[in-house]
Amino acid sequence: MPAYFLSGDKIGEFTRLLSTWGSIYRFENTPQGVRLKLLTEDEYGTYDFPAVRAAEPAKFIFIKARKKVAEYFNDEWRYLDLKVEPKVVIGLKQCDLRAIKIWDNVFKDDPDYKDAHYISARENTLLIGADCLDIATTCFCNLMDLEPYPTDNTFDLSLSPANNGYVLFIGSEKGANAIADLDLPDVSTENLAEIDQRRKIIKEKLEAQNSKYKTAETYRNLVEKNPDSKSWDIHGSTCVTCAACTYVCPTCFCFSIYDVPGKDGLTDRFIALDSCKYQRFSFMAGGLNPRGSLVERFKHRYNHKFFHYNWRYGINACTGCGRCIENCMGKIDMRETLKDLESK
Amino acid sequence: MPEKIENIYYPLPAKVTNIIDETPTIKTYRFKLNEPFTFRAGQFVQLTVPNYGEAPFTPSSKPGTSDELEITILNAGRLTEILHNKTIEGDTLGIRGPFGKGYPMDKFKGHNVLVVGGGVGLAPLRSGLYSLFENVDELKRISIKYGARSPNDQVFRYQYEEWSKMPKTDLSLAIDVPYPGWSGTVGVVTVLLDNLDIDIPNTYVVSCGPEIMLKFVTYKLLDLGFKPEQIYLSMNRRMSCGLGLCHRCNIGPYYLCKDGPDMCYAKIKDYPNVFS
Repeated sequence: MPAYFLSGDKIGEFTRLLSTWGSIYRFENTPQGVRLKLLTEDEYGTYDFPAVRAAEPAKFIFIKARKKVAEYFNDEWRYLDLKVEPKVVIGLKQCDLRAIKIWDNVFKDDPDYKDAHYISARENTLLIGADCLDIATTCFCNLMDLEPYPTDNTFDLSLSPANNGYVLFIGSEKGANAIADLDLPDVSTENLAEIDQRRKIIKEKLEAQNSKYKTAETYRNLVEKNPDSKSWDIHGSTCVTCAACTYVCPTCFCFSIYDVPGKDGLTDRFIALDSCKYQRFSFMAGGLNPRGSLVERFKHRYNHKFFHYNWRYGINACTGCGRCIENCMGKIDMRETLKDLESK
Repeated sequence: MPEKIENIYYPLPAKVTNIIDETPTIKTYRFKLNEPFTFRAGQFVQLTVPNYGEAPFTPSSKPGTSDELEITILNAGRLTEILHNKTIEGDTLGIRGPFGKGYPMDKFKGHNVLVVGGGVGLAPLRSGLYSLFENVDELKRISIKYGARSPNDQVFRYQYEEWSKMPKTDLSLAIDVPYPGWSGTVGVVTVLLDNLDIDIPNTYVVSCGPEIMLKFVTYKLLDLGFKPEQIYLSMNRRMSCGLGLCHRCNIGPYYLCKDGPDMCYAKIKDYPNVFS
């Protein structure tokens, strides 16, 4: 992976150059935690590099909780323009970058169906990854075999703090082209050694934090082979069906389609994020509901992430970001549910 | 990347040209489309009622390419109630699709095909029958078993004679409870599978009907010696997007909308809640 050294005083120049590609959004430390912020030009020069991932998941960069997807019958909506306002997003941690890959498999790279709304947003966004400098108490990306720094080929560029500046990794041709006009020195072995050392420490912290949750079997096997485990009842019993886990999850993409009367006798079609936790999610005309009970719906989310998605794409649809644990009012910890599948 | 791509959520206009009352609760809607539409037997479409939404239905008309399409619909839910009570000839509805894989017609070549339907379940099967009749030379036999609550609840009554006369084809009917003037078989559709006179190892089964019927048809077929690999069931669950995205119609890892809706029983039998 090509890498350069970007000195700290060049962050303004770097960001200004990227602003010719698109509007600059950057993950920033705020009193409410790490949040994504649209920067103004006078903010380009200073960067308080967040240590951990943001409160909100990366999916909201590309989609809205509710979005108009068609207006019928209006031919202009039959074929959609893939050009939308370009965006640069700086500071995506690996858990969010992996989540984008998980969405790409479904909405962008499916051989049969292409979601123009997602693809246009995705193609017009430049993704800049960032190392984690610390871990949150809910972080468990190591259990999902992910590293606390960008490794997937999802990112275009990535930043890793070193020697009062940053090691800038090039992840794609799109990323290389975006900074082609920047004259940067190659990275030194000392810089690489510095970030390797820090990455090792963060990895060790994750391993220590999550060692008690390690399972001998893969999560796919545990979820697929134990549909009757008591773990589902034990951990599902405190679920209040609020669906917070699915909304904050960077990988949860299930949605519903609904129509409302529009202007001039036309109809507007929307898609809105839905949740498999809701009782009517799979409810059918005539009254049948394959997942009428709460425990079945609780199990369904794990099934989708670790079994169904893995069966189709070969990777889990969970990135260990821990947002579902952080936001659960029933205090459900996914790590515990999975661990207990082994013994209960 | 091309500059524009097709919007997978956009329905194409479909004008209602005829509404046929099949039974007191089932109607067949004939549509005229602005452009030719192609589907294979067993594939389904999302039918849009403007301002209200859409729901999945398998066409009951002849598969292939045409600017006409028929869908036979039971009044069973929110959208179908609007269709039955408000939609009139001349209205423009919307069609999205086709979706799903459809029946594995190539597999049926050289075999008997046992078609087992219940109630409005004969609607998707009729589109399958048109395909089977068209390829009857390549089949050994087509045996149709159809059950309905009463003679008044049978769909496509006006076609039974024609179907019975098709080469290599037989048709048996049953109604659930005795009815004045009915001298045929009385009982649920599985009674038509008693004393089945068919070469079981060389037979594929396609079945569509209420989930409870599919369950007992499947168990009966297994008792008779059919293997799960020979049984294809129309597992129509809440297929909302039709695209394999929204993950509400799955059985195990299979999306019924994308991998079905006609599923080989061997593929799904080991997953929980196959028959809800």
